[in-house]
Amino acid sequence: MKPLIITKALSKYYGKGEIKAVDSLDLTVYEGETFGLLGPNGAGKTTTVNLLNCIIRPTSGTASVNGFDILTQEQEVKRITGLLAESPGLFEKLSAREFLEFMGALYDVPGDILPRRADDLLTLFGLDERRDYLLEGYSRGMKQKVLIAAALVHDPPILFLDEPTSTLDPRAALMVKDLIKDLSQKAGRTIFLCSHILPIVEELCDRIGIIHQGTLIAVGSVSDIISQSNSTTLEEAFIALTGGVRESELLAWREDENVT
Amino acid sequence: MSHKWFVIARNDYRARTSSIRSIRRYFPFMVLGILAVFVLYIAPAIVDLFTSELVAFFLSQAAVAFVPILFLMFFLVFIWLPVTFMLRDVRSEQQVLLVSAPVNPRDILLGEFLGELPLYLVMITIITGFITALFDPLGVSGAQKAIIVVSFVITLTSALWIGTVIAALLRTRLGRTSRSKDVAKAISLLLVVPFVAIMYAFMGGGLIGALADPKTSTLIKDILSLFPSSWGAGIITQFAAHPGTVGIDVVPRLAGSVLFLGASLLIGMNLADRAYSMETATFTAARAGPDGVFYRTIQRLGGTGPFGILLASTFKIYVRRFQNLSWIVYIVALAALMNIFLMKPQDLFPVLLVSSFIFPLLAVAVASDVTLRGKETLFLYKKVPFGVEKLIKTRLVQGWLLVPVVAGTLMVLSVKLIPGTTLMAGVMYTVAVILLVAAHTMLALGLFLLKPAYDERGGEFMMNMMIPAQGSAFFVLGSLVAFGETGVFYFVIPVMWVVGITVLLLGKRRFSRME
Repeated sequence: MKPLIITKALSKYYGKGEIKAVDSLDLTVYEGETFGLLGPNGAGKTTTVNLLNCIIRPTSGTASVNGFDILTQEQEVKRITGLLAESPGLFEKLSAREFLEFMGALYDVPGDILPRRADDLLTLFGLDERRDYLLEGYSRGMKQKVLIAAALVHDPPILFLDEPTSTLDPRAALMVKDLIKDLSQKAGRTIFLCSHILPIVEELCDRIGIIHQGTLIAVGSVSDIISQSNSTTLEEAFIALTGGVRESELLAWREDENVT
Repeated sequence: MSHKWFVIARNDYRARTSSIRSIRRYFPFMVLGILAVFVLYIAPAIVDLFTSELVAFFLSQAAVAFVPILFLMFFLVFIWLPVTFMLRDVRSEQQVLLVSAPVNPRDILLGEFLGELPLYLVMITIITGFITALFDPLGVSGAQKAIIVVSFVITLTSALWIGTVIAALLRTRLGRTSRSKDVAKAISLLLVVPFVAIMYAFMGGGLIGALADPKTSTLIKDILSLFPSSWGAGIITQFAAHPGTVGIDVVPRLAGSVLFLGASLLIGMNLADRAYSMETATFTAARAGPDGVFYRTIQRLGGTGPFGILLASTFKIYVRRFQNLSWIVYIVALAALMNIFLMKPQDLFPVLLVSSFIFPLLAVAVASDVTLRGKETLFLYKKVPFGVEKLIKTRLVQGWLLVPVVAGTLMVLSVKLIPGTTLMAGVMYTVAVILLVAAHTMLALGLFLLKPAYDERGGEFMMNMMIPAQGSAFFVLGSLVAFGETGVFYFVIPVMWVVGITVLLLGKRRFSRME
């Protein structure tokens, strides 16, 4: 398989170097695969995604996306990637359709294709009847659907999805899961997925990487990760690799109080 | 009623003083000390500078109506302040926390009022300290001063309570949808206009002169006597006329003020249930209609490609926010009021001057939208190819289609209204204003990219507003002194363009590197 995303000692430090958001990341993602990046809160997942989308620049190291260098070929990288950010911006005074047209125009989608594609995506996400309502009146889940549609509007070969199902209802989450599968298996798209929801990662990803305190501590298929950490499930493996709270500590806070 | 009002008041006070957390323990003592110095030394020293004028004024016919107007202004300001602070940032989320707890709505209302009261008492003390100092030259006795202070505190506390109740009721009503929150922000800005109009009318509109006429003065006084604020004002004018003597007719005025405060408290408490109702009034969401002539024209102006769509979308993002439209109305009103009351132009140059002072504010209001929608919206542009260039191009063209057009329209109106204006002069001044304001638009956009402001109440927003507004005023006045009227045309406009382009390029550089 052709390597599509390659990072070489990619690092991003903040302050005077004391905060290592991402530290010497060496990672390869292959064409057509669905790669999951797992990690506790603040581990460096979003920073990695932002670096690979040329939104921020690395402190050191480099990376290439489909052969384009993130340092010297920013525009080419941006053109071939779609991003669903963790805290995405959204213009609430636009309707869903207007927002998709706006995003499509930003990605230079031709005017003769754009309206039809926006309508098709809204229909896919079950928002066709709400297409003309302003986004300010949408629920969090509906906004998330619009944002996923916006990430797809220019039909990019590489998709970065940061927590795509976290605010969706079960039916929409299932639809997004199926969509990710289809994009990968039928449309040959490469998916870079960040999620806390381990069953989704387990089901969708061909390989996963676990990042902790900015460092990639494990990479491989789900079964590789489980066996590497002498665990029986991905959840156990994740806790074993990144640390967790012991069961005896869970209710320790009640012991000194007469809480009823 | 339980003690929960105290818990809420304490929490409210802590929230309001959170920025000075480290000195909060000593804060009341510091404030008391500073206020004592102000009341005992600074206010009398300021009054000393104008003693003879003040004595003459307080004994004049104009004072008969001026004092009730002044009192009414203070009364309305103290109603307006809590209302406008709430309207600027309607947050009903915290109300959910309070309402979901076992707390009586009356406790919440009283707690919120008492929580904000200490900070407003500082303002009341400054005003009363100054007012009592004003009466020193007239020979007003200590007892009379004490009555004036009591009257002021009762009147302004009543106003503050009324403002708090109105704010709580409005918050419930306007906190329900994004649209109503937006409407609230728009109203908060427009509420300033009447106060500015009265202030300008006093400053240059001949209102004081009109009040010197006994007929006008008595008429206004009679009308204002219906307001509770005038009962306190009556005490002041009576003491000014009879220093040293506390007459019996003070009693009904003071009693009236106390009764008014009691009645306001009672009515407010009875409205508390409504003020903290979380019932949803509507499920209707705002809907975008098909693009009308306006947006279609804007899209055509941007061409047939993606840029036309981007430009039309940027206009929708801006125009659909009532708060943005209220800025345009506010600034046009300000320009009109300045021209009517202060400048009273006989030719076009004063209009050009007013435009150079006022329209930088509109340029700032329009440009600020680029960052006020949040850092995340900026990152939408950062993600796309040549996003920085696309953002700057669309926002600049949007600004140019708004700010110079509004300023140019006002200039054209002035050409029509000022008699004896030639067509040549009209064209020349209109083009000059458009060019000047176009430069301000670049400057403002550059500043917001250079120093992004994500909140209207933050220091960055104020700084970005002050730089073009103050800078333009000083620059225009300086060149007027140095080069005369022609300097504005041949010096100010080219220099403003150079400054605008430079700052915009710096802003672009900063935005490209933003993380």
